[in-house]
Amino acid sequence: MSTQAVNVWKLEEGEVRKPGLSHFVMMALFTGIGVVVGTFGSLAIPLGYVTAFWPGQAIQAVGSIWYGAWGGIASFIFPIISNAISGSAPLPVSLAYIPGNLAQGIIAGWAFRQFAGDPRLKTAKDWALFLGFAIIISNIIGAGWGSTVLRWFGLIAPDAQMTVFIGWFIGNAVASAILGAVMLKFISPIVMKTKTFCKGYWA
Amino acid sequence: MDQTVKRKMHRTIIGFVPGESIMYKLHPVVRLSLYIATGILPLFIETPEISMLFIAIILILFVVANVNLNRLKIFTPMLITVGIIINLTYIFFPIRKEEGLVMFSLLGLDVNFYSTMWAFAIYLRIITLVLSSVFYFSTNRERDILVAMRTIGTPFVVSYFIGLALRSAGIFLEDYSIIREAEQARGLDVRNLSFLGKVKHFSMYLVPLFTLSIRKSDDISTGLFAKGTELTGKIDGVKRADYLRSKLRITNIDKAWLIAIILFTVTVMVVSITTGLLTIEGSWIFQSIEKYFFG
Repeated sequence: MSTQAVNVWKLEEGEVRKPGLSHFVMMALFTGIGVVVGTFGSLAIPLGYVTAFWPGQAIQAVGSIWYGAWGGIASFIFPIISNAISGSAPLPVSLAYIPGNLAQGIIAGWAFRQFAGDPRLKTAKDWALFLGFAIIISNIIGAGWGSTVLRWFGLIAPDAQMTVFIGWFIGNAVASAILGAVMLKFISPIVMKTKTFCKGYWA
Repeated sequence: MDQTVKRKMHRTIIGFVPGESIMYKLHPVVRLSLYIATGILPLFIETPEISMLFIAIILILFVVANVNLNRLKIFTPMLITVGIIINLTYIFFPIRKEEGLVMFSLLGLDVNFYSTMWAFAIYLRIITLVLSSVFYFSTNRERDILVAMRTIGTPFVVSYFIGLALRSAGIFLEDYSIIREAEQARGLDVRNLSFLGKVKHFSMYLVPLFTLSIRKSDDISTGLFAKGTELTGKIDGVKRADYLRSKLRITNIDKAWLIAIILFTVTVMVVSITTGLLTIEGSWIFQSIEKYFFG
């Protein structure tokens, strides 16, 4: 049996991929899924302005792995809507979260394309990319940005920033590692066969 | 009015809205601006009594707007947890502890006066925000959100995207309940599963859910392509007709409400920034508790 890793991001000879309406629709659908998962997470185990269980980050990371920049756009739009529905953050705070949410999404997509990871998590390298970039690095940046925003808006005590950072990181990372791994392992084979799967950033 | 008719509810993707409500007399853009204002104003109000007044007004709006208050029950555990966590955070990480105003000690930890008051103010802010959000989504359907966005000049592609996203959230929830019912019909009972078992089981929902979503995405794309939909919102260079906006026209009363909401919001912001009237130190509750504990 061949165990040689296949670069799923490489275009086949003569293959042409262009962004189109289907990508736009998929981005909207993915945003909708993110809204549901994000709202559920915000209401599940809230710790003030952060939640101890936010699987929404899995949608952000997986979205950018599957759908590139379209998933990246969805990753910062759906938290604005889910925060509004759950009331977990005022609109100005949600808008200020955008860079952090974008990081929580796009870093995974970048890493998998840059280092030729397989979204089906077939090898140890794929798992390392997923856990290292999609979960740990992206959540460190996201939690760092988010807790700083909360401090800027005076919503947390300055001394509590580290605690909020840790709470945010763990709340996102644990839930997203579980959900993200399941999504990538079981759904990637289906997604990769669709025309909306992006080998590049836009198509 | 017949109570059954009065209590008639309409299903939305997010929950339920009343069949009849005084809020429907206002144009969606007025309702959206009210929501934005109630989402911004708490950030400028530290005074607990004013926050409580704000909460009372929103609760009155719930009743006036004929919204079923039972809907708030699902938020009760969240509000209790948040209250406990915020207080604990400020006990463990007090602010202005150098002032030495310790109210009492709890399990060897000093409960700082200013921290406690600030935790209370923050907690009231969160309650206000949650109630404002629940109120908005309990009195607006998706189409109202879209009409409001289009009225304020949001590009067609953005409002179309939001519309599709909200619709997709509804589709996702519907598919989820169909799959769950199908599993229950086959005798599955998740109540006795361990937490890990529930997590594993939840994962098993994902495959059919996403497969359905992908298929629907393809169907919608094909449908839009077949209809010749242009995301620019124009047909042959001419702006396409907007049925919803033509049905919901903004009136002079709506304009008056809009001006009042904007003026009120700006006034509160200016007062908060330029005076100490809305600060926690200016609070009657703050001063009374301070006097009680520290004379």
